[in-house]
Amino acid sequence: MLPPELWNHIFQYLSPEDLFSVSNTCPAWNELLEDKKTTYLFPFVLPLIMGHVERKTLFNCRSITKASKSGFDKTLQSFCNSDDVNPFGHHHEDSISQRCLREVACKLKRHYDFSHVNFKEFLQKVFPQFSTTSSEFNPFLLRHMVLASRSGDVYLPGHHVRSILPKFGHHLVSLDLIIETNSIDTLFSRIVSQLSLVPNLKRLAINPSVLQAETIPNHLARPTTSYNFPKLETWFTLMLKMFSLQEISIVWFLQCLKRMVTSLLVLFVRRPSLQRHFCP
Amino acid sequence: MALVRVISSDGAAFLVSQRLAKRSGKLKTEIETFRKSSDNSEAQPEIRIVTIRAEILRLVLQWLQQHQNDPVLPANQNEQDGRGDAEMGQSQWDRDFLAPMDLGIVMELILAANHLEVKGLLDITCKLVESKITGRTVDEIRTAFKLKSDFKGNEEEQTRLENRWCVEN
Repeated sequence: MLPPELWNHIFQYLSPEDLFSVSNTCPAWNELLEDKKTTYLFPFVLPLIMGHVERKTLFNCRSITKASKSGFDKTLQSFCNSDDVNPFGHHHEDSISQRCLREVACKLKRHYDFSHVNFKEFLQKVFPQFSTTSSEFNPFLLRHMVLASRSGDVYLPGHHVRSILPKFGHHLVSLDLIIETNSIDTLFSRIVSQLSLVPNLKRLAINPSVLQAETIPNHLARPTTSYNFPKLETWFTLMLKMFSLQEISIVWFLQCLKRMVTSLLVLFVRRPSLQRHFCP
Repeated sequence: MALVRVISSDGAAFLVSQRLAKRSGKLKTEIETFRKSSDNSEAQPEIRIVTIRAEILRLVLQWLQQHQNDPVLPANQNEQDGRGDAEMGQSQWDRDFLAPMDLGIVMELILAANHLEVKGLLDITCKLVESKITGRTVDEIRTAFKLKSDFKGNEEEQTRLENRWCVEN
């Protein structure tokens, strides 16, 4: 048997998961680890007690260590990826550090069953704003944002979009645009002009609530200016909802985009002839 | 009285009545699995728990013993009820039970109670650890759990900015 200080030296190279196994091995080793117990058990215990901690302090847990931060974010993301909250089947990709954490969690899971802990209910209670109907998404945690607009001017409640997207746009993977407009040309040109601000976008849903489907004069149907489309390498999903717009504008828009978009969902398009213009 | 042998990770064996053991969801499933796979219905089940050491297992069994006549709490209760029960169930005995324990032991108990599916114990232990977090600053939490910040450069400042977004909105 090695002297205790040598064991301590060896233990400092072990992962929290291994340390947990070590302390379970025999009373002598457990005694050596007595002091460090709170340190290495913290990442495992945090997910279990999250339901008991009040919201404001809970966010403090993100700032403690990297492990606690990714544990927190992971829990939130798995909640946001669940089918109840995310009916569109869009999934946030794990960052590398989160993938590592998940591996640890999987290893631990072989010994422990965390499945019955109901994070979903807890999160719905603590973060009511993370339900899909609300516009208050956090772009850092969820990589998702809902932008509403009135009379063609896009804004987020409390913040102007021109200050939001340049600062935080690169965080976004998923974007919902809810737009009230009666000018299709303006609508698309605005969207196009802001796409370069969201280089990592993978899913865009455009949900225009057209106040009045006004008849557009023929010379306006084709856009007068040519727009520079930013190259969005990773973009794959486009959702257009409730369109009852002029056919030609959409066709133009889709033709510009079709090289980039790999999946398209168009709901309530009134012109079936549109389909022949778009081959995915 | 039917008995079951429960063996801890470091090899200590505890002989407990099956009635008591079945108050843990995990042990209940294990006993039933053993029944199905064994031909001899009189055989004594033996369950090895590889992630709980003797000291912790003894505490869990001690808690079960004390609470053996409580109604079993369903595991998937909604948050509101769960919290109410935890407060109701926190008897003087529970307080005396937890009082002399180090934080590290309580955290091991949380993992054990979660593993063995003992909801009542999970609730009171979580509540105890929660009290070390709620209302504290980041530095106070670090001191309480002997944690060191491993953020580099401005990563911590960045996290703080992100948090502010959540809290103020």
